[in-house]
Amino acid sequence: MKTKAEMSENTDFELVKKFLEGDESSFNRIINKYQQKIYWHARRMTGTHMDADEVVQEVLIVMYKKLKDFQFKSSLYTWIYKITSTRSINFLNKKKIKRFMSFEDASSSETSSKEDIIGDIDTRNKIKKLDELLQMLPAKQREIFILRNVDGLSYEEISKITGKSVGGLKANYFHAFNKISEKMKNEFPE
Amino acid sequence: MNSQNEKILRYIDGEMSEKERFLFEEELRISPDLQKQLNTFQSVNKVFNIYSEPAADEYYFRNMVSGFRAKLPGKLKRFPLQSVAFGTVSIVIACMFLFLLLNKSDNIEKIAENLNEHQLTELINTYSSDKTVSEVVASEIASDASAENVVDTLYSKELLVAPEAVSYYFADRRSDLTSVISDINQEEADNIYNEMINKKYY
Repeated sequence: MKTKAEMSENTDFELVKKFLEGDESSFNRIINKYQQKIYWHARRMTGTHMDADEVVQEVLIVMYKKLKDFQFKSSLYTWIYKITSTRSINFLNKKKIKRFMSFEDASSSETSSKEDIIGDIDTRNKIKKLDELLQMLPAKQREIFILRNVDGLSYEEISKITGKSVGGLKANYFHAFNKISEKMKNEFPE
Repeated sequence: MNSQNEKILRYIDGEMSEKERFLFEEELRISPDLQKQLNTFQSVNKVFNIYSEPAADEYYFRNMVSGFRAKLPGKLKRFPLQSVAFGTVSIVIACMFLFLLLNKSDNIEKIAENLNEHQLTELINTYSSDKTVSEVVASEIASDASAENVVDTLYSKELLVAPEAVSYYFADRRSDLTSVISDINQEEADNIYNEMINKKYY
């Protein structure tokens, strides 16, 4: 009896195979399956909807171009997360440089953060605070925290995505946890 | 990471065996500090739960595929480096070609510009006589002037006047002087002489 994960992998394998044989609708189905995970991971990394949207577009294009090189050495899910993490970090680095070169300050990006896909205002405000907490962490530490705490991935899966050792990941995760919990005492008092 | 913090994380992440969990919970009962630390970690988890996949506008996700398809290669390209590079090189080559084409002129002044003062004076003195080009060259040869230098001078003058004549003359410096001179007619020689005069005196 196959597990849910194994069944999903078989489906992913079939979708990828069909896409590589020329069936474009298979790629659409892959997007539909993973679009929420891609978007929310990008959103947590970048902090705003507009930036997340830009990263998502880049990720989809990379997937479209590079799926032919994917050899199922990891799950498709892990591969997609790796692309999303990498594009997000690259995006953040580019944004930092642009900001430095044009002498903008962080508040100039606030206009872009007004657009959001979260309808409920209460949820939106809470998530905004969480975004601010996450943005406080260095990008790589943020990535580990998000993958572990929010996405619920195992250390082994995170290790495949980030290329870091499990021991290093645990240490990083703990440091991130500490920083966030300290800050949270002010933002989310019990 | 110290062992206590690692235990807390393992406990929160549900990675402890039954026995480990039992021992840890016993430890929690007797250690208020450990309990406080655990509460802090658990509150972080609780808060971030809402960020798992919050309710959002489904319209955005429904249109993700069509939005992506609209931007696929053909319409969305990164900076087309190859095309720009090819275009730039083509433009540069075209400009160089145009430049060479436009600069090919019958401007005889250029012949005189390449001569220094001493050469100019010498040549004017030589050509101010009524001798023909052939006679002048012959006398140059006779008067110990190196035949090669004369040929070079005549080559450069002729080629400056008419670059298309490059293929017409031998590139080899040992070419027969007489055959070279016979290709420069009197009118061309006169023009060269006039330009030298202009350069020297005007």
